[in-house]
Amino acid sequence: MKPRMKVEIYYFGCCAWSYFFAYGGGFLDEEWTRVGGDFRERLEDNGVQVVEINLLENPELAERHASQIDPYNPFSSHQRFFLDDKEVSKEKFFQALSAPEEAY
Amino acid sequence: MKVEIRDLGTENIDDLISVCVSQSRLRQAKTLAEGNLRKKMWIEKALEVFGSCAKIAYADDKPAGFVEFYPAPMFPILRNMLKDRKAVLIMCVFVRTDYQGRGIGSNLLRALIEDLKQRAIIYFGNERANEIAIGSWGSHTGFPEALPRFRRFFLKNGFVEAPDFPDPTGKGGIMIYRLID
Repeated sequence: MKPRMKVEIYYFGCCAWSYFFAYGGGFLDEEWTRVGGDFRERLEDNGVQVVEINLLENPELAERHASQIDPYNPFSSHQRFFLDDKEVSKEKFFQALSAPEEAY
Repeated sequence: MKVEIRDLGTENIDDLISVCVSQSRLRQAKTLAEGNLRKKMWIEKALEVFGSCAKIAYADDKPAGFVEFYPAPMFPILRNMLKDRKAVLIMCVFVRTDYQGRGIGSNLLRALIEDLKQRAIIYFGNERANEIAIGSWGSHTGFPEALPRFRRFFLKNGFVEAPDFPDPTGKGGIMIYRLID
């Protein structure tokens, strides 16, 4: 069975570019969907839970999980990837996401 | 050319957003369009909580530039380092390239300074801000080629370098304007 998959996206709500770069500008578009958008829809279609976190509304979460954020940089962003509630690297996450169902 | 500086309100949020992304070759990217929507949602909340958080420059009635600012202690990490300072952080100041070199950026900064000299800010317990800070784009956004221009612009407008200003990144390059000494 495929693991439960989740992505957390941390972005500055005051900057459209922060959101854009949080998705890698976007890492999903270029490394996975290659469709120039629809990242969230595509992830959700694949059973991935996407949680978006505005750093300005959740400073305590940012400090706990995204402490390398540069608060002076409006483009700053961060992502976290989870398989079965365990944080994993981006590479491992996309490996699991791209694996066929039979692999599990 | 007639230049007018207006405060951001619910009626001109789209003007602010359009100036920010209108010249980018990426403006059609869906991720950016989604980011624009998130920004709009955030600004609507910010206007209620903080009051106006940006000034927009209109050149002959067309949006040409903006300065966007927030109480610095509301930013993650900085909130712990700046909790005792009434500092306003400029998150962005930008003028469309076709309007640059005409003093619009300086007009925006002057309008912000004059506003903050007299505005009571709810976030600071209805007191005025003491200082305005900005992290250099050269150091903090990874555009080192922008640093000399950045420094010239802010020095010209009365900002000073503040190597001791709290900076969790260690990158430095913070400049401040002291509203109250």
